[in-house]
Amino acid sequence: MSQTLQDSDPIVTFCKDVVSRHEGNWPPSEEELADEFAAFFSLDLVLLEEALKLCKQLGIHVSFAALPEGLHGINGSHGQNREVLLSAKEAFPGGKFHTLLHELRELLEYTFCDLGYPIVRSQELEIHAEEFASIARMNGGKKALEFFLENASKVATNWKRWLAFAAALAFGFAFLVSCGMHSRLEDAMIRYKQNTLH
Amino acid sequence: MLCGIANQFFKTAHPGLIANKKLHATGIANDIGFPFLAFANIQTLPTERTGEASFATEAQQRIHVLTIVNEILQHYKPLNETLSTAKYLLQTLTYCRYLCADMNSFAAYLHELRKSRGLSLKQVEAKAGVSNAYLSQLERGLRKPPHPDILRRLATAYEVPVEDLLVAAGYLGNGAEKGITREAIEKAFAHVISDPQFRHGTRIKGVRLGPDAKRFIVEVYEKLSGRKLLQPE
Repeated sequence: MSQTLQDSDPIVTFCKDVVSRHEGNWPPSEEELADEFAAFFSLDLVLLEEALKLCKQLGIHVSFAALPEGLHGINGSHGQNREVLLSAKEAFPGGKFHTLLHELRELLEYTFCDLGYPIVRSQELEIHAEEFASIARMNGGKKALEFFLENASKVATNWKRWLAFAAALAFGFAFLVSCGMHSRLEDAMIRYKQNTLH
Repeated sequence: MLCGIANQFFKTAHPGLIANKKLHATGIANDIGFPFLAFANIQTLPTERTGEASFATEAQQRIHVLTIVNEILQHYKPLNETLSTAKYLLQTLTYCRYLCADMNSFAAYLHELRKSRGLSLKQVEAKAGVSNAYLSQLERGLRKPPHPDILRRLATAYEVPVEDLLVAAGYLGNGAEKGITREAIEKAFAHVISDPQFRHGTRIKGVRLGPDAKRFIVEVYEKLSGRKLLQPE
């Protein structure tokens, strides 16, 4: 509440937009928030590069560092300044992208709090940010899959078309599972390491 | 006889004889027993002993030093049985003990930790699920520091913060490389989290927020607020 919220800040504008649309039915779900976030900034969250470009537009400085093991990312906000620090080394593909979306969600929450419309309690923010990151990535993946399927349908030869469909579906399925299960895969890997390494 | 005494000394000495240093083999020989070299025929030592050597583990360093001392002692026959030899040996051993006591050795740290808890190796094995033979090797500096997961189990068994073990094992910097102490990081972090204007979050899994992570948070704060909190001492 202590922050001076500026309308020129795109994050404040987005958050106000969300508040105005959901005021009667607060809070929005993470799925709604992820959808509205992608729609508001007109982007398909498929690649890390797109998210980095968006952060630049939003004035969020993103950098990479060799963070200690287990620490994937840090976000910070001080006045109108925002910063995200990501681990330069991730075990799973899409790890940096997932963490960046997670940190973005947390940064959004600070603004919602400043507006007087917190979505979650601070203790639950971590879980919600994970959910947001997974959903945002899956939404992006769905759009990519639709694009692949559309192109596959344009293949003239029958068997090649089916092959393209199969490849697109297999890829899409693997991608969606990896997005949705990212957090669990990381947890599983930690457990595996703890149980097997001696 | 001298070899026996020297071996006995090194067996009982602090395992972290020479930690975290690139060593010049001849330099070591000079350091640990310059008086010996006055009489020993250093030229007869194999050439690789006199070149610059770097070591992956403390144990390798220790073995290297031991080998050199043994070789020197073997070449040092003329005064083998004299009183002056004993005097020189005493000087050398005293100097070695001084060197050893000054070292921040992971092996010794682990040993002290177990002793201070009054636990036997087998009790630690039962508590942490780490074999007592392996633990014994760790405590004697014969094995390099284990994986962080094992350190976590040991931290639970010894009831100490895992960060302490991670720092001792060299996984986490304690800020020393920047001349920043752990206390300074904790103090800066306390300041950071008390600033109502600063909000932060982390995506962290499987570990607690340690000094290294806190240092990164403080650095993010410094960048955003334009205030410098961590100053090298």
